[in-house]
Amino acid sequence: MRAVALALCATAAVACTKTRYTSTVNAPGNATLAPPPFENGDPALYVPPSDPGERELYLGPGVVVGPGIGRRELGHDDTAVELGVFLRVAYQERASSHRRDDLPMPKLGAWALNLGWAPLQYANRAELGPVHLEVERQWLVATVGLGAAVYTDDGNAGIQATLAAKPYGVRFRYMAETGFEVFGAFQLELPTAITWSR
Amino acid sequence: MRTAWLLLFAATACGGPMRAYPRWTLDGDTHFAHGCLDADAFVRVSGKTGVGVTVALRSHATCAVRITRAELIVDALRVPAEVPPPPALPGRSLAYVWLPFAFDNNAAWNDDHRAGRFELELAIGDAAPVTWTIPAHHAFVAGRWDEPTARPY
Repeated sequence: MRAVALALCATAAVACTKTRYTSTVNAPGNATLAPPPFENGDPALYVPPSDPGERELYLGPGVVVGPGIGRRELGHDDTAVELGVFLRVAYQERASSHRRDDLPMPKLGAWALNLGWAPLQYANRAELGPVHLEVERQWLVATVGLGAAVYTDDGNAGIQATLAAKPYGVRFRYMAETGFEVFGAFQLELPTAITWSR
Repeated sequence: MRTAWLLLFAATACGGPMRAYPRWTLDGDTHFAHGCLDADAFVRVSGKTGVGVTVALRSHATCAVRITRAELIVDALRVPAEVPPPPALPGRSLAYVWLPFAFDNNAAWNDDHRAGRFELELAIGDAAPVTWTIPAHHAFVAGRWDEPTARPY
């Protein structure tokens, strides 16, 4: 029970991030230039405009960490740990505008671009991990990503796929020179967005 | 799975107030009195495609009033409104006149053209037309978010 309460507090703290920048571009609402339905001379009478919707650039910087195997053949124990950073970018249009404290989140089925770099990969020694570029599809906390990865130190390139139910995830790679890699991908992301009206 | 539900719960728990919209507001005295006529102006509609103003015309006695010109002037932009037919004001009576100023208010907002004036030219009886000028500005009235307690209307 304590764990649930703790998780709830932590999640709420992350969720109400207030990390959405709302621009005032296109701020006026949609209005029809017709006389009000009734007129009584009341100075307070005003026909509010309707919501024109909004456009949003989602930016999700984060860290990803997890144990894995496959980078080095070290005999019976070739496990490694990888620590990386990433940025998820998604553009979307919404029919209705968000509320002030809404959590920035790509909408259901949204496409996103995930750019990342693992500055640390540790097996028997510390070394650089790969850079990657993935195209992702997202359904709430679940994401599926597919793209390319390259180790910048030796040019070893391959394909990469990531399956996640955030914060948990698993990352698969097939590298041209070293074959398969599998890494856990525990992800912590700061949901951020820039929003402007349609 | 529990984390996913907690995330969802937290995401929906934030919310807060809805978006507010800027609107044109008349500054200073919105009342006009001349001869047999008293008039008041109110902004009723303000949005991307323009602004709509109601003018309440009250006569003390039978009064022949014509609005000969109605313009919103924002910097170099002059937006004429479609002038309505002259209202009938027999005796002590009241008529409401609708003045739609149609223009690209969204572009004006984006270009920071957010202050101007309404100019109404009224011909009362046989006298020469008089000009009624009402300064106005385009802004959020009570902040960017529509706090229920701050709702101005």
